[in-house]
Amino acid sequence: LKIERCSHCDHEAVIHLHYAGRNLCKDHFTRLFEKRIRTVIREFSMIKKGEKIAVALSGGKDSSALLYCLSRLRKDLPFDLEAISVDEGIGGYRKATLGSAEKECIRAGVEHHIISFQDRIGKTLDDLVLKKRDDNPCSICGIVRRRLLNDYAKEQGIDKLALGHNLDDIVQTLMMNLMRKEPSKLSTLVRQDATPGMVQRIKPLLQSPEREIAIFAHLHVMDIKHPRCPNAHSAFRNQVRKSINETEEKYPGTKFKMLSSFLEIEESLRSQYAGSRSGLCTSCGSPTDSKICRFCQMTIA
Amino acid sequence: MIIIVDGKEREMDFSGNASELIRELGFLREEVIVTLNKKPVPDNAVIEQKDSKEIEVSRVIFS
Repeated sequence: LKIERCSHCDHEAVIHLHYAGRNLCKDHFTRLFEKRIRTVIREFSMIKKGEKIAVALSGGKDSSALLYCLSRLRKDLPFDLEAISVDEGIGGYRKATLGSAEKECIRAGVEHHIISFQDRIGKTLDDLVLKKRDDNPCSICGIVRRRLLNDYAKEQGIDKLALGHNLDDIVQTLMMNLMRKEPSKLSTLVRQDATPGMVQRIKPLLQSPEREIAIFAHLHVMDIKHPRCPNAHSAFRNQVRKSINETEEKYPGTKFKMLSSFLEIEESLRSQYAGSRSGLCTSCGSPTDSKICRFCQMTIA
Repeated sequence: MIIIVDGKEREMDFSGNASELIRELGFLREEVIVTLNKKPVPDNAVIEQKDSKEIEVSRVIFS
């Protein structure tokens, strides 16, 4: 194998950044990766000194890399860090990822909380999917997981929940919401203000491309080789992902430009759709734009 | 040469760089990483016949 040298030193490169025309070795790539996360945290005022932050930790590459980077950031910015994992009850899948999550928490030296659908709502995701055959399993899982994470974080006095959403997730969701004509959902794509009853969510990986996260996780020996979730088959997201990845390959930097363009119009979207969820669920009292929130629709009866 | 693709051995005739290998396997560059002895290699790394079996192409796990 003939490997080019790092653009900044004499070491072998581990990655070529097509959008920047640079080769980076492990050290320089790690520095870039961590600096990008620190810059996002600072520019978006995501974490303040002394706050209690919990990473929503699935045990996959994104949340594991996020936990690792946040645990290192604590050396410069003192804050409390914990991790919460959700056992949705997906047969043959979740146990392995929970094992990886546990290992990463031990390595980062943080407390690991595990909550389960079964314990909190008396049903597993597999039960809910069987009952709600017309709904997309990822949609059911997302709605229930978000609520359980939020409720548990509130109980634990967590100030902010850190999510492993990466650049690819964000630009895919951006495109999907545009294509579905759901612009109101874009107003909270990147930033979510603290609202009564809701723990603020932060996305420090929003400028981190998914492939770079995979390489970072590989370089820092994270145990993230898991089978794909058996429920993950959203045809629409797959189509959008493929289309964006094809464009990125042909025109490197496209994902960064999409995010950057979105951030320029984000504030006007936020003003336009502020308080659009003005109603409260008649069943649980959570903010919603319909009579009964999606969580209650999914889990009651 | 034998290359490991998503954990399975695959025999193929190949010479070129990692980007070209990814394309030849039918993947998009953004969707996989290429490693040599578990160490990631850049897309412009040139793969030679003697690297057989040490080269692994793994899909980025989509969450």
